[in-house]
Amino acid sequence: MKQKKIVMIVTAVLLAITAIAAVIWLNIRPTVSEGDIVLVKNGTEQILDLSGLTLTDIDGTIVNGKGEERRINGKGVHLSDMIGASGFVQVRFAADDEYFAVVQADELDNAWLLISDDSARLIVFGDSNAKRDVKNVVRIEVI
Amino acid sequence: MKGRNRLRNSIFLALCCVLGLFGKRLISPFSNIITDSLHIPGGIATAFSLMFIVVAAGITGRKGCGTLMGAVQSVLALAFGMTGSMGILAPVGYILPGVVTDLMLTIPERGEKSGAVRIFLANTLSSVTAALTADLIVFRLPLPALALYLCVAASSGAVCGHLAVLLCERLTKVIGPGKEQGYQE
Repeated sequence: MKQKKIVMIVTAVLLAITAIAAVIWLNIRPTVSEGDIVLVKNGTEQILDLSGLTLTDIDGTIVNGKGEERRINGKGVHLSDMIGASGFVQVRFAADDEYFAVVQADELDNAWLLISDDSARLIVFGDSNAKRDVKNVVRIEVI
Repeated sequence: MKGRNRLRNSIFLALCCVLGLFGKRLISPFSNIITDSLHIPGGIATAFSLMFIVVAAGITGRKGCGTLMGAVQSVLALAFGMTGSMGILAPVGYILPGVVTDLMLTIPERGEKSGAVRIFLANTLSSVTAALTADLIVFRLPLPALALYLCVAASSGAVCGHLAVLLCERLTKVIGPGKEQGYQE
């Protein structure tokens, strides 16, 4: 009985600490309005409105972690149209939950931002798995 | 009789392995609702998945059981393409929490009723280990997000640890190897 009491107390303390950490994180995390993306290039931040981008058709196939092929069909932006074709080494795409993927400059031809429902998704054609399938991209850093 | 116990234990371990692996998939949609609202990339479903390893290791009381089950899970995950973002490094993410589970379950007993805290600690700390491993291999979160991610992993590990204690209490009566070996009420 005493042991169960200890277990309950420790669980309650951990939940309380988690609640505090959540409040702190939700207050300090960088926020972006829905339908916007922060583009960081040459050290300057720029807010891009997704609805203001010129979209083109995307049609291709990606492969997920199980090796299954999935057809991608929709409207989006080619990365070189968005950030230029040269003058950088890599581009870092961060999602709303801080998950991120990096696209090297020489992979730019295969990289697209699929836009749907005011949300951007990174698509890199030719990848052998979906590790760089970043959904809800909110920040793009050109490095 | 000994052979029958061994077979029973092996079947139970295999069942827990599969439950751990696929239970994670089952609970993911619900846990994602919480983690999405906290803007972190996970930390809850893994604790639930690890609960089955902890229960199996706790009940059978075999040394190295957690590590072995983690290794089997990683092979299954690779075979079924369930490696997530970790890719080929997924075995690290499965085996390390198993090692921590084994370490926690080797804590020397103090008094007659010592099982609950060890089971609880095994689930909590293996969950934190899994979160840390995922962060090192994949996420590399900024410090405040990492702190919350680890707190969520620890809390969910603690809640699932509590469940693991309850499961051990009930299952030991049915399939436990006897008080000299596994979990002790």
